[in-house]
Amino acid sequence: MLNIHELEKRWKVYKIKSFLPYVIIAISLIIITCAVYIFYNTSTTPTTDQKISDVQSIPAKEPIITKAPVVIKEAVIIKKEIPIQKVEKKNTTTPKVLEPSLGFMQNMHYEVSQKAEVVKKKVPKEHTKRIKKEQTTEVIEDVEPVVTTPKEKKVAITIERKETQNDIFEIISRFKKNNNPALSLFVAKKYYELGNYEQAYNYALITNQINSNIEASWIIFAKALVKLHKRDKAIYTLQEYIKVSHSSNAEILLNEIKAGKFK
Amino acid sequence: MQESIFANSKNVFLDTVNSKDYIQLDRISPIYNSLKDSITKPLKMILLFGKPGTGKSMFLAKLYHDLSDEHNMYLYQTPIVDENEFYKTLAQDIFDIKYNDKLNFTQFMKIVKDRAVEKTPIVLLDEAQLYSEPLMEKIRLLSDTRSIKFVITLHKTEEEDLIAKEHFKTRIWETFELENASSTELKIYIQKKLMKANCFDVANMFTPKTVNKIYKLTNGNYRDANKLLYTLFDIYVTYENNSRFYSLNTTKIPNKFVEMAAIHTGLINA
Repeated sequence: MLNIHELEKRWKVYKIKSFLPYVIIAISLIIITCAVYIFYNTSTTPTTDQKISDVQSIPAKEPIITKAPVVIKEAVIIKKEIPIQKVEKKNTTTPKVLEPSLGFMQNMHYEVSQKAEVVKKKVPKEHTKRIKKEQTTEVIEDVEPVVTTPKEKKVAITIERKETQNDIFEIISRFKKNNNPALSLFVAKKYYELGNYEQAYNYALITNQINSNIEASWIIFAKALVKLHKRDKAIYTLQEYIKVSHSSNAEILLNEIKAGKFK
Repeated sequence: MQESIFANSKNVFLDTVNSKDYIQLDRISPIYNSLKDSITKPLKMILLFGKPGTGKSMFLAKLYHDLSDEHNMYLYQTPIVDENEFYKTLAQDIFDIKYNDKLNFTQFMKIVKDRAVEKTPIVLLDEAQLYSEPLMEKIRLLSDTRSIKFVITLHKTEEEDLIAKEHFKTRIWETFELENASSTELKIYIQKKLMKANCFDVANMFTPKTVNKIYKLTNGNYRDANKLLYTLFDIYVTYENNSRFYSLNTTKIPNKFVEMAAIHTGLINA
């Protein structure tokens, strides 16, 4: 006769063994999904942190660019943002807001001035974006008067988004491709502004070779010569240019150089 | 005391070679008829081969049972490995010559030539793979005389393709291969066997699912299936005797029992 108890035990062991691979697969799948979920979560959180840090880093650069009109515009933006901040405050301190006060205007001015300082340090995303936009437009305004031809206007808009050395190289590479005198003149101006007078001289010379009728190019050329201690050559160049073009700006510069006002 | 239906069913699957237990299946019956026809043909040797448990021995037993009255037929289910004993047994059975001393091949060949019989004697040798190479060679020589016809069964092994052997290649005129049963054939086989023993209720318990399970475990091998089913009904009997029958389902065979039987017979390694 069969030992049924032992056989049942063996059968149970067999059943456990046969189900074991499925259990292992199921557990490993759960572990994998959990791991993926955790990894996904951890990988997404730093990106938001990065964004915040990016946003915070932007205002740090601003003081270099900020000029008087920009500050005024910032103040305007902040004024626009005040109601939003007030709403936030209402949620926390509702009774204060509901009470009418005679010194409301004074308080408001006080708050604005205070918050303007805070915003400078902790600028939210929207603030930075708006400020950025204002800055770009402002830069364009600065450059536009220099540009004389309509072609140069187009170039100015695209070029003057940033004012770093890298951008100059980018413009130089573009100039090499299309030989546009507006680009070389822009490079000459920028080099002059950065104090690299040799390069300013070179690019002004190149511009003059391409197009000898650009007044701004001759002026930069002369200015660069003066900065390179070639005052006589600058005077000679301007005199020769005035003979051809009768440029008043060139004459003013010539007089300044001669008088020693421009060094 | 009347035996339970499970005890009867258990006895049905006892692993014995009895021609009465032979189950005719659709695929096998043409093979069997061809084999029967080939017996009447002037063939030197007939080979019946297949994997162990495919029913070769049963086939041979059935052939002997069906044709022994018409033909001069001799069945040797157990191989006579000793050469001298082999010749002596054949001499005694076929020619009625009893030899007390040794009988070698030359002496036996002389007897075969001298004592010609009316009907060519047909010798059925089961498990011929157990015969030695020299003895097989002598059996071949004996078949060449056309005085004795041999029907031999062999295991088909992967290592050694016996049909390819030279002494078979040149002389076998007819070969029959037996294969394992399919799932459907296995179901018919089980149910026919049970119904032969009047175990109709038990036969109905074999659903296609149960048969498939048995088929997967036995790979359609008749011997393994018999072993498994014998143990399966032994389990039933044991439960019955232990008064645990009330918990058993009599409409179908639970997988648990099949698996337990497979574990006991070694078909499942647990």
